[in-house]
Amino acid sequence: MQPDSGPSIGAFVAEPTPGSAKPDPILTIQNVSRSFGGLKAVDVDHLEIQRGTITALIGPNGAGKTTLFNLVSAFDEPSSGNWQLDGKELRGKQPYHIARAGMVRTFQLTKSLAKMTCIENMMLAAPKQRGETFVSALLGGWRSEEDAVQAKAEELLERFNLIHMRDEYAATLSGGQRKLLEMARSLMTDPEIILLDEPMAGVNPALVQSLLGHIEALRDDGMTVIFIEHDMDVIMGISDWIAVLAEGQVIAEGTPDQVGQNPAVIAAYLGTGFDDDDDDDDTASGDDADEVITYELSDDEAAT
Amino acid sequence: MSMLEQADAASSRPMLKWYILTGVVAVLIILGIAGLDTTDILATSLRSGLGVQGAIFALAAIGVNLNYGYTGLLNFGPVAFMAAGAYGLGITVTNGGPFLLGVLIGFVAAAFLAILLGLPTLRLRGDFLAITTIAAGEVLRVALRSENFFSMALVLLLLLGTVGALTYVMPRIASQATQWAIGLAAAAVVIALMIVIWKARFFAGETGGTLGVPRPNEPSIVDTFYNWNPFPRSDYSLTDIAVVGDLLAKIPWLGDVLESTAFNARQLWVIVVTWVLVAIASLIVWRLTTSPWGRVMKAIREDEDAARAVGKNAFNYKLQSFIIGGVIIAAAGMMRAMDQAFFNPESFKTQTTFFIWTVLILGGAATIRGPIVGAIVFWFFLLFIEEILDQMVERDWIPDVVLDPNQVSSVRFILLGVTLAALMIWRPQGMFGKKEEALLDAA
Repeated sequence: MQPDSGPSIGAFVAEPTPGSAKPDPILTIQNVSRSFGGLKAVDVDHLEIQRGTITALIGPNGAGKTTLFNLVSAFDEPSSGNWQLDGKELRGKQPYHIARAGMVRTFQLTKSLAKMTCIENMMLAAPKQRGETFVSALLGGWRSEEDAVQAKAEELLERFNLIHMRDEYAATLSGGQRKLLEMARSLMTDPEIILLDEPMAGVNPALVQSLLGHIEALRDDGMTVIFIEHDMDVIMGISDWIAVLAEGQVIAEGTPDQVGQNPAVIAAYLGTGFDDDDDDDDTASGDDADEVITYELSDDEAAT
Repeated sequence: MSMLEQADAASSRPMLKWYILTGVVAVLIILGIAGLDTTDILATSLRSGLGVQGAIFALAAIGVNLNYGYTGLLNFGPVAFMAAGAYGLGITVTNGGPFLLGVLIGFVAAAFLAILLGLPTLRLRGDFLAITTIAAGEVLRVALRSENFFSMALVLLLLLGTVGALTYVMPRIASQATQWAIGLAAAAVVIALMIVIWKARFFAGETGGTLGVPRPNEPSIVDTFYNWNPFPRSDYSLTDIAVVGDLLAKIPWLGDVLESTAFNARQLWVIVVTWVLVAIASLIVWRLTTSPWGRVMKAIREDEDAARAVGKNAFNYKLQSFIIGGVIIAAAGMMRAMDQAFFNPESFKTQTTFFIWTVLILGGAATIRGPIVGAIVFWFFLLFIEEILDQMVERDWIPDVVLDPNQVSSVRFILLGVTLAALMIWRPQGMFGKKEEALLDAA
């Protein structure tokens, strides 16, 4: 049993409560909501993401995880709310602004650029290329920069075991390889924070291990990672922090251990009992350890 | 053998050329034995493919290729950009402006049209852009039939500008009374200006309406252009080249063909200038598309959202593609105006748009030589078919009941359509497109 005081993960201590404050948040989301007609797909009161950690975003299908990604990366417009990256307001920005500000994302349905080779896919993403403006594209003077971009792209391809596919069209890659390519391409932008939408879906187990290694390496390089995932083994093994979404709201936050034992989370995933919102809030707020145990008992009883 | 290598081998790229060539030769031999004038058939076809038509459509197709082949924009309104170029040049010259200023205004008009058309429509995707651009081309043609086109355009711009300014200003003003005052003042000014424009008829009749440019009483639009013609008045063909020409002329039959493939000095000047423009435009497009700029363009073609997700301002790039492509197409419009010395709104029907697209698809999109070879082949075969049918009808091989002389030019389009359909089925990538890329599309 974890005590109710905030556990420490590496350098950071935070309360395991929905919307809890983090010591050094890189991304802060406030009152962000998105309605589709009468349905409120996302309704996040407050969510902070700690810098330099791997945060998993989990929840049942339709919980609003991808929609939340779409909102913070500006691919979708929120009905209300705002969010800041490093204190910089991002509401009303375009997706390319957000990528340039240092927050880059991947997509659930992988977006590889089919009729471009892997190396072209990679080189595209390098930021602030001189040869990207019309005048210098025409007049030249971008070759030396191009060489540097290419070297960087090759290094990343090497790291993601794709270097042998360097000159193949992205369309000829397997699904898993495309996921790797998209992730590698995102890294070309030198992001501070990367949002991965189901990076492991459809990837074979051997590759999953190497992907996990890549993600941990990113964090060790000082990057912040948020990822959406369904595989509980993966989530428990790799994340520093987990935020649980259900029906658009953050219903729980905490370390993998804390979240694994949180009855509100169990309820959201199993879909039984605990329909009383007040109770959920109480347990999730985590200031009454006894109540957690009571719920776990009742859960056991229900099972027997 | 990888999938791509197989695709490469199956594409049999070098063979198609030989199929076409042997096909043409076989048809000519058969028809020659049967008694048709094969020299005339081949010479007429070559004059069309290598001449004015081929060159102008190659130039226009290069512009569309930049839009569609490299950026994925289905621009179905190239004829509108040709009109912008031609009218910009024509109106300037008929009003006494210098020729080069006219050329500049033609380019500016095309760029302006690209922005005006692009701002609202480039946010649309794929098919929607195609529908909007084809409609815009038609709207422009019909609007140009009105003699007061510029008055109308001015009024419209005035209205749009005022509305735009007000939407910017109004939310920044606190007091409601001030808002009312500004609104009423703006409305009064707009109405006054509209009345002035209407009454003064600043530009009334400038477009020539249905009469076209230039109108009967107006100066020619092509004088300056042909004054620069360095070729003395004569007929020119390949056999006129020193030494080589004499040798060429000695080749049996082919020598006759080449001698008949002749242009007068005026045509030759248009042809040379247009092919030089084709070379310059190809060089620019090649330079652009092999740069990081072109890489962003291709990424937008493949998946706009992916480009935006890695920090590229996709809309800005699409607008650039539209403007540059539009300016190249406008050059084609100006050259057609130079060739024909006259144009009216009916010169800019959608048929031209479809010809340009046919040329591009035939040659292969997203290649540098595609539009050029496509244009030559398209105009060669259009005239090849017409000339054969003409001679057959003339000699009563085909009875008038089946096909009378006036119907020949329509029938060639039917035959061309069938050829295109076959091409789409068996060779969707065109003559020079990459088969493997076409295969990836299907996947």
